[in-house]
Amino acid sequence: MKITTAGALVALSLLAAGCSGSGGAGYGDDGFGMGSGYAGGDGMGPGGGAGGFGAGGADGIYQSYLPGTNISDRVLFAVDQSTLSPEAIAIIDQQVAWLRQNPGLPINIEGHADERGTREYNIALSARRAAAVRNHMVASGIPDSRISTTPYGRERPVATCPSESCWSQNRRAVTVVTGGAGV
Amino acid sequence: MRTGVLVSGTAHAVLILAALVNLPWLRERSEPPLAVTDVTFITAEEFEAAQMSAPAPLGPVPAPQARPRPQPAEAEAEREPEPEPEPAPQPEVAEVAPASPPGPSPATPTAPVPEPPREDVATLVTPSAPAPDRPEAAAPPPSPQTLASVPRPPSRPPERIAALPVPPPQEPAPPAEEASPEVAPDPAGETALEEQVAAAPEAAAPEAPPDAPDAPPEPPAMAEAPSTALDQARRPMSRSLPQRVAQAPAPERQPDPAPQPAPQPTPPAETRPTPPSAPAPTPPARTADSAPEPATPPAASPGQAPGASAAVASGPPMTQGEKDGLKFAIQRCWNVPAGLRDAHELRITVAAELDATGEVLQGSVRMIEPASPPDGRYEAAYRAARSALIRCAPYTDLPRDKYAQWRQIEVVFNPEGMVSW
Amino acid sequence: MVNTSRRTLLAGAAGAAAAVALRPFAAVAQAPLRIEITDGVIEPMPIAIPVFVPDTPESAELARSVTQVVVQDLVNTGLFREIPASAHIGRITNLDAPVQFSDWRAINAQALLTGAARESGGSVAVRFRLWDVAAQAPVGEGLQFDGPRDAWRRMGHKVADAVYSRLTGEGGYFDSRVAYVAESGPKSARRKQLAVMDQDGANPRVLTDGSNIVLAPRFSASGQQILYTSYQGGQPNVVLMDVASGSSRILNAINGMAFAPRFAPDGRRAIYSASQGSATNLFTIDLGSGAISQLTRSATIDTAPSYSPDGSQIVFESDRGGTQQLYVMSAGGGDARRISFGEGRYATPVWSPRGDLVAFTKMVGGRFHIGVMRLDGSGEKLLTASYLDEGPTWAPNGRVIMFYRESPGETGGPQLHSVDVTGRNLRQIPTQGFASDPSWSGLLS
Repeated sequence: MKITTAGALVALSLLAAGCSGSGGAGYGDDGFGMGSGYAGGDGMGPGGGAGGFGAGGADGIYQSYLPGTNISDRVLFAVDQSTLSPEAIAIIDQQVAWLRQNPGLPINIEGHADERGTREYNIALSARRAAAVRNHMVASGIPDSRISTTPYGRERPVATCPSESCWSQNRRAVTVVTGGAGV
Repeated sequence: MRTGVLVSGTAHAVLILAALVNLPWLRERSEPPLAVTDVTFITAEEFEAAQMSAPAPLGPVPAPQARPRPQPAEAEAEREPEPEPEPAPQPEVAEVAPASPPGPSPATPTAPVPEPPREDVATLVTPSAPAPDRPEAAAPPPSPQTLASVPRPPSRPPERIAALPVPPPQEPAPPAEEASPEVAPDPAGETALEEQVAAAPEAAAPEAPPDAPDAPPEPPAMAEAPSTALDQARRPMSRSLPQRVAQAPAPERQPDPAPQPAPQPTPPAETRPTPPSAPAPTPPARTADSAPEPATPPAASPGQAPGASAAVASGPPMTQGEKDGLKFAIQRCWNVPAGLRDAHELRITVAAELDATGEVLQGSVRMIEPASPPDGRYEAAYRAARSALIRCAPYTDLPRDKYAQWRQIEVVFNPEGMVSW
Repeated sequence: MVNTSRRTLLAGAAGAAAAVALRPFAAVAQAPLRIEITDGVIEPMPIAIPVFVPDTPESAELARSVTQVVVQDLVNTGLFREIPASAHIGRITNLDAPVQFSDWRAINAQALLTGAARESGGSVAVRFRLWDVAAQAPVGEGLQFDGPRDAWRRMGHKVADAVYSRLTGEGGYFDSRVAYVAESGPKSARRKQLAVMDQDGANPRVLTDGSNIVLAPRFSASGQQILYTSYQGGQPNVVLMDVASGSSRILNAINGMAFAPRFAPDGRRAIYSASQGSATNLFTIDLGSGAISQLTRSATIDTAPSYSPDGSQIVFESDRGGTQQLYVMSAGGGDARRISFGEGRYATPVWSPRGDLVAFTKMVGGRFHIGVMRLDGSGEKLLTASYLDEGPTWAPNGRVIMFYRESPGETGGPQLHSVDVTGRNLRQIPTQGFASDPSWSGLLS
């Protein structure tokens, strides 16, 4: 009996371990990917068409990458914050490396916010988030003129369920290549 | 034996029958001295006579039915020229604004110039508005509407006040009438009354809005030298009753001034000689009670002590329970404006006069606090309060024998505890 | 005889004695009886509004429709209860005939509104009289409105405004318009269009084609212009539109990232916020000359500004203290005074047209609320609560607030609601689809 119970416990814990954080930064497991099929029009929404995007990882988290790479095109933020986490910095450093390898491609950093804040403040907050990414890139040597930013506030969520698993995905800054091949 | 029973039974039956039928000779026992009785009856008759001469309201229909006839024509005439010249004196309105915003037409985004809704506003003439501009109308009633609302049967027994337990007798109080007087040594009696009467017509003159206070004349009366109870006795208050009731039909007021002077000299004369059996100085307060009555006595006129003495029964002080009864009776009808922020500061005081049956005398309702309302919300609050007073009348639970105490009421309408904002 | 006279004497003496005994009471009793009513019935006022009399047979439809506009305006305030026509005893067939008040008192009407309408050619005339049933007296004067046929709803609103203000003592607000954003599509890719409508939801009109995100339109006081935020050009910009012609132009000189504009009360200036780097600050622009001046200079977020009715001060939200809070500042800039101190975050402040209150959105405990507070921060009162209530705007009389409520989930969407400043009478404003960001104009002239 005891052995069986222990075995069951072990099995369960392994199962649980397997379920957690298999992709990305380990968010909740009930997220679902939203197709990023926006029109490329400037005012309509984030220009996410250029980059390839995953149809969702094993646990449904939205994933997308810089074109032709497996470098994540987005970093996430904590509630009401615009500071870059270590994970975020790691991703941005990868993006910077890619940008250096592909000079001449302008990018637009889109800032976003979740819907648990008011409209105007979210625009300002998303502007701050985009600025944080931009500042880090510039500090890493990317020319300022190559980078533009657009704050979308909470207007373009990628996940719309009313819970933290979705809200956290919306608190993001997305690097979008706006020119050159692949647009 | 049987005869005895027969006689006894018959006599009993007769007596009972008489009591039921209320034969006059039976009543006389408790009736006041002849003179007083006469006065009473005369009063009633005179009242009726006076009443007849007034433009009697046709039942509930507002009296001025004749009035509007010419008016519509006028109204039409007035309205026609008005729309054009317009803007002028409208208190209300949105004047025409040539450059007004786009008309609410949905489908013309491309319309070069959305037509501005030119609106002219005209003030309508109110046909049934009070007669202020129609003095000729028979007896200038405070307002036609008021008239309609005061249909008191002239024949109603003049008793206004229940007889006071106290006293007795000779109190002339015609049974129905209040006996009170003696107790209440009616103040000043005549002289005060005369003054009241004289003042009343003046007060009535402005006819004004139904709410015109008619209390003012009272204070001066107070100064009068009080007469003795006996004097009072001579002048049944009741006489003033019917007059009071019919106060609205002002016609009575007109005749007042005339008869006034005549009786005036008399009463004082009568007063003097009266043996001061009662402590002479009647509290001036008493005068107040009789004061208002004055308006009526004149109708009674003839020298008979117009003063009908103030015999207004006041009785023992009102109990808290009786006061609360009135309070609860009124508050049932008090519709507080909800959803209005700061409604809690709309504390107003409304004064009114009640007749003996507890009905509100419409011409007597007025807002006395705040003396000068700072804004329109107070007017609206006053209308709600007035409406409450009128709709929950008559206040029949008020003790008749204490009428003098609740004849004039001041009701504070305080919404503070009710509205959180 | 002797008996009689003695009896009389005795009676007199007794009376005198009684008079003496009762004198103290008599003195008291003569003053008016004073009582205080501290409790009543909080109920909508019952009002009878018989169908307006058509002056000509052809005006019958107009008369019915105008009556309906008036009834809906009044009933929707929550302060009036209409006594249905089926209960009426009396009938009004001539506005100038005397009123049989007993008929209306019998059905417990406290107020009676009688009206008439006439349509001839392309013009319309509407008139009314208002009566106090208990006092059997008119309330104010009768009025008549004349104008083109298209203005018939406005006339109904003006009648309702007059009735409302006479019976409550407050100003009216029915003859006014609301600008808002009409939304459609999935929440992740909403299509947003600028729109305007009458405050009761009638006459909706769309002003933009939906190809760009548009946000938070703000009416000028006259209702002739709208300021809003648009993503045309790929960046949020402040745009000024003339409602009648539909023409618009971008205002901000700063390259993009300007949003949350509002008119100054005089209509000659606008205030907005613009982001530079990680800071968002307040700016004003002269609408005539285009001159821009910067009001706040900080590394924090200052946004959602709103002018006081006299234009001398502004209230805005800022996170300079660490979280979103409300601040008041002179319209020319300078020191800002914090006025919000409760738990949670405060945003979207809007100064009441009466100058006495600020409406705001408050986020606390995971929920959103519409609330009001006095300008010194006292008297905070939350009027609503839900997953997402936001964006209050004031009715012209400062007694009703409109806002939008978003429901959660992909298929959820925003709807306009109104509530009065005491928190009562929460109701939805009918729109054709989803709607958000309402902005109430002033009373139309």
